[in-house]
Amino acid sequence: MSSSPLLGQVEPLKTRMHAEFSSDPTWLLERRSAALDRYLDAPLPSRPRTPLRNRRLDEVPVFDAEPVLHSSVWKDLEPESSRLSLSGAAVMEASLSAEAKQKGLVFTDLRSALSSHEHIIKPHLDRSLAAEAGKFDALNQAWWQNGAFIYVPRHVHLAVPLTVVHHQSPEQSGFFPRTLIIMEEESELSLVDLYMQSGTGDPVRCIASILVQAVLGPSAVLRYGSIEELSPSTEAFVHRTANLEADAEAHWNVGTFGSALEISSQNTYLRHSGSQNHSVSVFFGSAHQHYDLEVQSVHQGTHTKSNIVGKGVMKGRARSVFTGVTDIKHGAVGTDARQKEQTLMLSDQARADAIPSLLIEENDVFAAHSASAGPVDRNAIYYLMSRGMTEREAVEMIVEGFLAPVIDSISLDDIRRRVWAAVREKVQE
Amino acid sequence: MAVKQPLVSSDYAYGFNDGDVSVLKFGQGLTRQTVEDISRIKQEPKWMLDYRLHALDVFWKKPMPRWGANLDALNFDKIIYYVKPSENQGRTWDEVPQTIKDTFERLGIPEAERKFLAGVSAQYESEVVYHSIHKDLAEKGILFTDTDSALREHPELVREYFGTIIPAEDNKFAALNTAVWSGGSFVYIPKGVSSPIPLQAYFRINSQNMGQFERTLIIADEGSFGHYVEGCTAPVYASESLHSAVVEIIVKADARMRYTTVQNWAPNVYNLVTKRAVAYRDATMEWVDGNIGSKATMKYPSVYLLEPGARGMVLSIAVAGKNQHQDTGAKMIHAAPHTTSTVLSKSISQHGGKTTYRGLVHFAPDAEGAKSNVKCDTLIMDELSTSDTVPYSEVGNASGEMEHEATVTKVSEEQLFYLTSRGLSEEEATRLIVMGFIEPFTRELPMEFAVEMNRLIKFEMEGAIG
Repeated sequence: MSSSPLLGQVEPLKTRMHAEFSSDPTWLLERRSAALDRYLDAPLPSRPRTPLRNRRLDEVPVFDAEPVLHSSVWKDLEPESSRLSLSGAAVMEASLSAEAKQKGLVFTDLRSALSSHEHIIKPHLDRSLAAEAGKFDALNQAWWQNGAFIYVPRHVHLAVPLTVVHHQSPEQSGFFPRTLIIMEEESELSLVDLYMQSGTGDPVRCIASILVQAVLGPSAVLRYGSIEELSPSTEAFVHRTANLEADAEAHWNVGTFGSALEISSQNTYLRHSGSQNHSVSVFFGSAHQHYDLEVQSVHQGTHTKSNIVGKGVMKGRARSVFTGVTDIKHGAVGTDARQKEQTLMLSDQARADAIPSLLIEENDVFAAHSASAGPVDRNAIYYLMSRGMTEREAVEMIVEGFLAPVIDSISLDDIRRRVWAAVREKVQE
Repeated sequence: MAVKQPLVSSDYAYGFNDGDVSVLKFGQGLTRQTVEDISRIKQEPKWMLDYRLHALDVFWKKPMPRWGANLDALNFDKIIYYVKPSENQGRTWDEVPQTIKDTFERLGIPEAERKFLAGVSAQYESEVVYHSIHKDLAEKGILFTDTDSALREHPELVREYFGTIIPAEDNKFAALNTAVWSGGSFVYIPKGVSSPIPLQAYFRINSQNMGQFERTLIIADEGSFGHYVEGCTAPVYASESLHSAVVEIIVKADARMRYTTVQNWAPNVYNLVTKRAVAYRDATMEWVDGNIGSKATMKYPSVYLLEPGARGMVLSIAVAGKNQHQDTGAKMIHAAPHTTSTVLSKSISQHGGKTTYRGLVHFAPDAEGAKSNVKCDTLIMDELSTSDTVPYSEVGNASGEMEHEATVTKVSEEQLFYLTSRGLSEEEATRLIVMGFIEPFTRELPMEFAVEMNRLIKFEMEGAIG
């Protein structure tokens, strides 16, 4: 399949898409086709601090190799009772605890769910994205091969977290994972998305577009974790969105460690009273990595709450932009909205920008933000070295101390462990 | 319960006008001819005319800013670019026309002048009409004059610095100012000299539709100290006016300069101002900036900290009332090691007004050990009003320390309850809370300004609450 069309080649792309997805239901194929048109028409995402024009993103082939599956990829995963592992379109592993099955929870790959739960998927699949869908959302909507689908019925609480592994072999050039979460009233779910490109092949330049959509019914509680550890030759576009009914809660724990470039948006809509958004983003940039991360909380209902935390460590020649947006609409009385952004700078060649913005149309609110950036405390290093540590060990300890308050607050054991592992790997890099 | 009434009354306190006394007034609109005429009337050297014409091309080429305040209603063809009120500049108070004196009387200038303020340079419309330099200043070698006179009397100084801090290419409105500038103040403080008194200038737009494009250039030579004070009021007119000033300040090694503005433009004035200072080794630049009036303000006083040890400060308040948008902030560019900056911003929006804090702190890669602290607080007085806080921070090295915090709240009900339980009326209690909120700003004003400021806030609240 070396003749894969490039992302900028209009007619070959269309032909290839129809061939690739000819077995899809008609409605889906129509949507893919419309999404492809949107992708081709839409301008590049507008991030003033991350110019994309010169990256020639349209010269990347959409798929240029058959996936090569390596069983060794799964070795580091611990045995779990509820896990879905996807590699390209293929389902490598799908297990769900008997307890969950019995409660009526659906945890399956999106492609199978198309036949088993079409009536749920069809209305939700693209709807919640409509408001702010950009070029690369459309790219995913056109080309997604498979993904995860989770449906939690009313009053179902699941104690054990579900894990989704979105894997792709590194010699493939397009990666379009997606996750769709539908939660009914008073349900509770913990879910972890892991994004990885590992294997024995030589990595090629890859465009990844990742979509995560969550729909939370009244009083539903979602604990969501994700870790991005994509290959250093990948440029990733990530969009997470959640719509919350009254008294629902979204808890985001997102770790960004991989890829050459990541542009992300996370939009949480608190349209109904009493809903809450708690977001923790941890990022660690090294070498020439460039992260432009945006976390937005939109308050429309009354007495809603949000807390956005961004915590980053920058080394090498890495560059980060962290934008928090607290958007309080007129009528959202009693809103309590907070933001906190902190960056630890380990290198003079690194650069970190923070834009913690508050957009407020209502007076009966409390809104606050704080941001800080600074170096490793030299006195602390001196102290630790006087206690027999090497400078390197001292720096590692200080980085861990800096991140500990946010990482240790992550309630999902698995994601917390993985974030720590990723941080240690980055520190020692 | 929240106080719903506006803080600033819609009746504009200083909205009187005393007829049109202009002697020479251009028609509306801007052409190459306009710029050539302005330069010819002022008998400027050729380099200035060339610079103006170059700036005019830049102005025409630059697009309108698509961020910040809404400028859609601003029509460059409906603005008069130059008005000269009288043939000669008044040398003494007696020579100043009576109508103008009456205006100053109401603004409180004569008292200030008679008492102890020597360096009063009062700008009435586009030319300085009254201007005196106290003996003390002259003896110390301090130059304090309008910029037009400075171009005639100190051409070498003006040419050396003019447009070096804010070139015409900087932004559309800086280009416009450079093309049609008129008036403004020129200050030079020699090495090691401290100005014994604040240097004051009152600016005032009088004619309907008249743009005011003053150009201020301040040079504080090594080890000197100065405090420049600017205050503005303008009468109410039905159609839009434009005020687009450029202020350039050079603070050399070990010098300290403070620039204080209390700005209270009429609610139909577009106030689009570029203010920037450069601070050299161990120098200190302080902007104290109050924005109370105008239809829309876009103003971000900046300090470029160019050499080690330079310090920058911005202390500002913004009050936005009905149909007003104060889009203000501060920029601190740390370009050298061990530079420090502080920004304290207080905003109040009420009666449907909008305040925006838009700021930037930048640490360049070699600004090692730079420190910056930014704090923004906003009070939203009623449910019609809005506020945005958009601080940008750019950290480009591993030894700088940047801190930013901001809060947005309404007037605290607990505080109101406490104060009313002590026998204050709700109106008095609200005023007290607001005064306390902006106190960090008023405390830094020269005494007569602080008094005027307090009077203004009090008067406006009295007109509105209860």
